This record gives sequence, C-alpha cells and structure tokens, in this order.
Amino acid sequence: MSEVDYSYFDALVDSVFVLNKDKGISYCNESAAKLFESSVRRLSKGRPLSEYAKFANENLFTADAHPMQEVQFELVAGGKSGKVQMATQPFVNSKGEAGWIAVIRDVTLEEALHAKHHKQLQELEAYSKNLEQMVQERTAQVQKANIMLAAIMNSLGQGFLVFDRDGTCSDFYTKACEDILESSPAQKKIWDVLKLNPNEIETFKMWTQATFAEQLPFDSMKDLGPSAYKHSQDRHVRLDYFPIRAEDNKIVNVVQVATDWTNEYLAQQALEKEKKYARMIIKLVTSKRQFASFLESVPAVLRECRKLALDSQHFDYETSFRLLHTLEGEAGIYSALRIWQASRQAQEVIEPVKRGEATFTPEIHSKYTQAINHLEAEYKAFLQENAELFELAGMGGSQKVELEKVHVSNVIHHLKSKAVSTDTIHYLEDELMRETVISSLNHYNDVISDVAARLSKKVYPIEFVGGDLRLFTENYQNLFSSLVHAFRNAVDHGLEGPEDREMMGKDPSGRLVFKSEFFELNNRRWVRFALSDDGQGIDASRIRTKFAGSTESDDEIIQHVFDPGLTTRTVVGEFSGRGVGLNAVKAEAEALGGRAIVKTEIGKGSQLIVEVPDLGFPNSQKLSA
Amino acid sequence: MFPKETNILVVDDSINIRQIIVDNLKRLGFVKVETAGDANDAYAKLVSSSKGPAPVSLILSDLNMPGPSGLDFLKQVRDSEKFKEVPFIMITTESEKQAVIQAAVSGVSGYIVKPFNLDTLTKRLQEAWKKHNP
Repeated sequence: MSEVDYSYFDALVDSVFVLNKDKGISYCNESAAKLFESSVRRLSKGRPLSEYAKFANENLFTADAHPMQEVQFELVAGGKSGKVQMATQPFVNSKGEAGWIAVIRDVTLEEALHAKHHKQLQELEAYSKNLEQMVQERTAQVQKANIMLAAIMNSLGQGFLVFDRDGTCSDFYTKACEDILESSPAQKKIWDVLKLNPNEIETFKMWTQATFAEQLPFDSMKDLGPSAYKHSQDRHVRLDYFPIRAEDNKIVNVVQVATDWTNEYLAQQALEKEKKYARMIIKLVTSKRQFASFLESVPAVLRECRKLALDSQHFDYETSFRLLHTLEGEAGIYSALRIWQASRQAQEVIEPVKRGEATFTPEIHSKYTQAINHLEAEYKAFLQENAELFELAGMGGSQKVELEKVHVSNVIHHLKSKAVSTDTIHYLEDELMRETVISSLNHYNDVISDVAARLSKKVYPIEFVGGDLRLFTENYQNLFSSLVHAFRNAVDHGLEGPEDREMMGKDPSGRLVFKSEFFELNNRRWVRFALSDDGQGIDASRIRTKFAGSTESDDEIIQHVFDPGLTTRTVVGEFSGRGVGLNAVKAEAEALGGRAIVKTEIGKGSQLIVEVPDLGFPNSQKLSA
Repeated sequence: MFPKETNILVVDDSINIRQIIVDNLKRLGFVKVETAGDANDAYAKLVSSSKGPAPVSLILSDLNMPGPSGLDFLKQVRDSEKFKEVPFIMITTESEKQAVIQAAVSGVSGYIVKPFNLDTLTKRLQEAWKKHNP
C-alpha cells in the first residue's frame, strides 16, 4: 500500500509505476494496468515488478535517473511482448526509504503502424513507377491513335472544325475544311471562316452566346445556327453542329460539320427541271387546247400592257398588274419558265406604284417598257425553243378547230333556216359546240398539287360536281384563266398544313370541290360555279383590322377579299399574297355581267361563288381573237 | 411537367391557330387556358389575371403578329419585375431564325416551329418546365 498520494498520476496516458526499495509495485495507474493486462488493485500489492514482466535491460533501476530508452519486454503471464520506452527516476520517500518511479510508453502500436505504413509507402512507390510506365504506354497509344485519327479525319470528305465560346477555331480541323470552307480555320474567328456579313455576325454572336450558355437546350439552339455556307464557286455546303461538354456537363466547344452536297443538289435541280419539262409536255398533250389558248393570249396581254402605259398620267397599273399576274399564273401552270419569270419581273417594276410607295415616273415608265419588251422577247424565245415540240403536238391545229367550229356554226345556221326543230338544233349545239367545264379546268389539278407540294401541304384531286355541264367555253376563257388565283388561294390560304389539320381532327389531305350548275334568273339561264375548300376559313376579324370603324357584318366584311391590294399577309408568297388574285376573278365575272362572292365558316372552309349568264355561241370574230 | 391547373395564356393573331393550340392544351389535360389576339391584349390579360386567384403562369405566343411582335411582348414580360419568371414559349416559323435567337438571348423558355403536332408541343412544354424547375 502506498503511503504517499500518487493519485496525480492516475490520469496520465503513459504507464506509471512507483516501486519500493525491493522493486515491489507500491502504485500503478490505469495505463500501467492496461499495459500489464491486469488491474490497478491486483498490481498495487507490493509484489516485485519482475513477477509481472521481464525487461531486456535490468540496469535502469540504479541511483541515477535514466531518460526514455527503448526496451524489449515480455509479460510473465505470457502472450504479450513488444517494445516500450521506459524512463526511471530514483527517489527517497518521507520515511527515508529509496524507491523508483518508472514511466513506460507502449510503442508496440506505433511500431506496428510504422511497419504497415512503410509497406504501403513501398507499394505506392511501386505503383507510381508503374504508373509512369503506363502513362508512357498510353501516350504512345494515343499518339498512334491521333495519327490514325488525323489520317481518317483528313481523308474525310466533310469539314470538321471546333470553335469555342469566343468563336475562335482550334488548330484541330480536317483538311476538307480548306476545300469546302475555302480556308484553314485554325485560330480564326468562325464568322470570318463562314464569311458572314456584319449583320449576320451580330446574329451569330448572339447565337453563340445563347448556345454556350444553353439558354435553350442545344438541340433547340443548333437549328438556329447558320445552316449553309456561301461558297464562292457555287458549291452547296450544309452546316451541322455538335456540342463538346466538360465533366460538369457545360458546353466548352462546338464542332461544326460542313458537308458539300452540290452533286446531290444539282441532281435534284436537274430532276426538277426535267420534271417541269415533262409536265409541260404532258400538259401539251392533255390540255393542248388550253395550252394553245394560253400561248395565243400572250400577244394580247403584251398589247394591252403597252396600251395601258401610253398615258403615263392615267396609267391603269391595277389592270396591268392583274394581267401580268394572271399571265404569271398561267405560265406557271404550263411550266413556261421564261414567261413566268419575265411576267414576275414586270410586276415587280410596278409594284411600288401599286402599293402607293411611288408614282409612275418616267424612270419607272421606261423600266416598265423594258420589262414588257423583255417579256415579249422571252415569249418568242419560248416559242422558238419549243417550236419542234409544238409542231409535233400539232399545235397549229388549234386554229383549225376554231375554223371547224365556224363551219359547224354555219351548218347549224343552215339547219335553222331549214326549219329543223329547236330541240334538235339545241342538241347539236350542245354536242358539237359546247364543251364540258371539266375539260377547261382539269389542268388546275396540276396547279393545286404543285402549290401543295411546295407548301408541304396535302390535297386530293379536285372533285368536279356537274363537271359534265356543257358551255361555250370560249366565252369563259378569261374567267377560267383568272380561276388560277382561286385555286392557288384555296391551297395557300385556305388549306392548313397536314399537322394542323390532324390537330383539328380533319383528314390531313385537303379537299377542293368545284361545282357547276345551271339556274334560272330573270327568265334567263345562268351558270353558277362554286369552288369550296375544307380549310381554315377567312378570319373576318383579321380583315376588319384593315377597316377600322366599319359597321359591316362578318359576311359583308369578308367580301373585301375581292378588293384590289388586300392581303392579310405581310410577306408576298410565291403563290399568293400579292392581293390581286380574287380581284381578277371578280373583274372577269363582272365583265361577263355576273358576280362573285365568298362565303366562309371559320375552321370549316370557304366557298367562292361565281354566277354568270349562260352565254350563247360566240361570234367568229371573238373566236379568232 | 406543368400542373394541369396551370393558367395558360395563348397569344396568336390567327383565330384558327389559337384554337388549335387551345384544343391541344386541353387534350394534354390543361383546364385553364386564356387567349389573346395581339400582344397588347395579352399584356392586359397578364396584368388582370395577376390580381386574381389564378395568375397566368405559362405563356405561348406567336412571334409574327400585327402590332407589337411576340419578341416585343417577350421583352415586355421579361422586363417586368412581376412577370419576368413566367415561362414563355414562342411560336415561330422556319424563316424566323434571327428573331428566335433574339428571343433566346432575351430569355425565352423555348420555341415551337409551326406547323407542330401534339408530341412536339408536349416536348417543348416539358423542356420549358425543366428550364424553370431545374
């Protein structure tokens, strides 16, 4: 039992023993008990330290103090052995007896840890040496792959280049760029590579900004980038974009792929041209008569257009524009490209006058005359170009038919004087002189399918109701010609796109019905033509915006579609939108003493109704005109 | 995806397209759809709805309209402290790329090219929803 209070050693981490003069243990703390795998109570009974553990160095318990030194030890009870650091301090207690304080620090664990770390360190070293070798090997592989990749890329027909958010192109690009984009893009600005104009550069910079920031998903943004490169040698180059993302998924670069599709484009063009020519021949064969009457009508249009411009003070540009517009429409039907183009150009000359943006100045007058002369030259060139074809088709025959008609007319006249019954006369007139409506209008099927195809719309062939109704079609030639606008309008403005139609629960293909019927009015026979479409109808409120303050009803307000110059479109389309079309139909109907009206139902469709008198046999003068 | 009770404002000068969009939204299950024929009317409806219990919380607007364009309308909405966070989808055509880029920079939530179908509309709505609820 200890007589001195050693309790201040209790809380120490190191093991502390107080030994008496016989090296018996008079005190030990918890750490010491733990080291000796025993308890404080059992150990502090004054029994010698050597009964519990053997220390390799016994010379630590001398009259001198010994600082910490490493000593091997082993528990007598067996099992535990290891290395400890031990310091001893002799002292004399209050009774004058000598003793020692021994402080022991167990370093077995440290030793073990050190050994373990050493092993790991060695492994790490070995690994890093290995890594170096692996990196070398990988680099060699990558270099090899790079060479291969470069070889592949440079043999590609497409131009690949990479640009960053500032628009700077990297050094990495395919050889094909130099050919397709006509320069090496390395370190250039992408807009300089694409040779964009200042306005386009501004847009492009906005696009780059929005694309790298992914203000909209890349898939949405890529469609807004430039889609073509303007090649100086008229090659057709298409551009596509792909993102390169960093680990955080942010776009760091954009790959641009430039593809030269000139051959494909030219093939398409050639095919298109061939198709047009074929279409013209088909029309020549199937509607020889209409084709001939179209060709014959051109000189009359030219004459009229010249006459209208004689008096520049009162230049009737509306009529001139209408005539040219109808000619353009007809030339389109017959794929007479030269005439089509020249009549368009002539319209463009007077368009500013028509829109009220300019007056008919001597300068415009001279341009107009030039345009009409050009139109005439193109018309003649067209005739000459196709002379052989027209000969083969027996186009001269149209004149012959007219003469025959005159003969027939003479015969009928003769029969009348011979007191043949009126019924028989009428029958003969009907059979020999009148022609079916369908024969004059069937070619509009080509118009509607052509317009529909270019507008990505779908349309069924025209459904002719009462198409076998017979008329002296010569009387209605101008009216029928003007109907080109009505058919185009019906497809362009009337019919919705297939997706829209599907959305509305309609057949994706639009339906046009042309109905012809006789009716009585004031003891006279009239004919009513009705062209119906099952499209979107005419939005009266839209037309109303152009007639602010009008008190007209919806039915009345939509009749303004016949106004010259009315269009709800902001852009002039290829087919309609010049605001002249239906005006021409109305003018022709009224010229025949009839009228034209429209009816509509929003979402259901529109109907153009033309009512004209059933005119009798035209005189021979009119026929040959 | 936008909750079915989202109050949606559809802006288009064409009554038919307006109707088509409304029909499609209804087919997707949306029950509260308002319409406007031009940008001025649309802004007025946006303001008045904000005073009620169900403010407009999604706008689908045509780009090309008589009077203020869809882009003008977008800028007006994004410049307003009150409405700047309202998801705004622009309805466009193939030929209006430049204006769409401007719209993207001005903070449009997405765009749809006319003519479009139900699938495209759904996809664009989902994208806009994700953009505003990341």
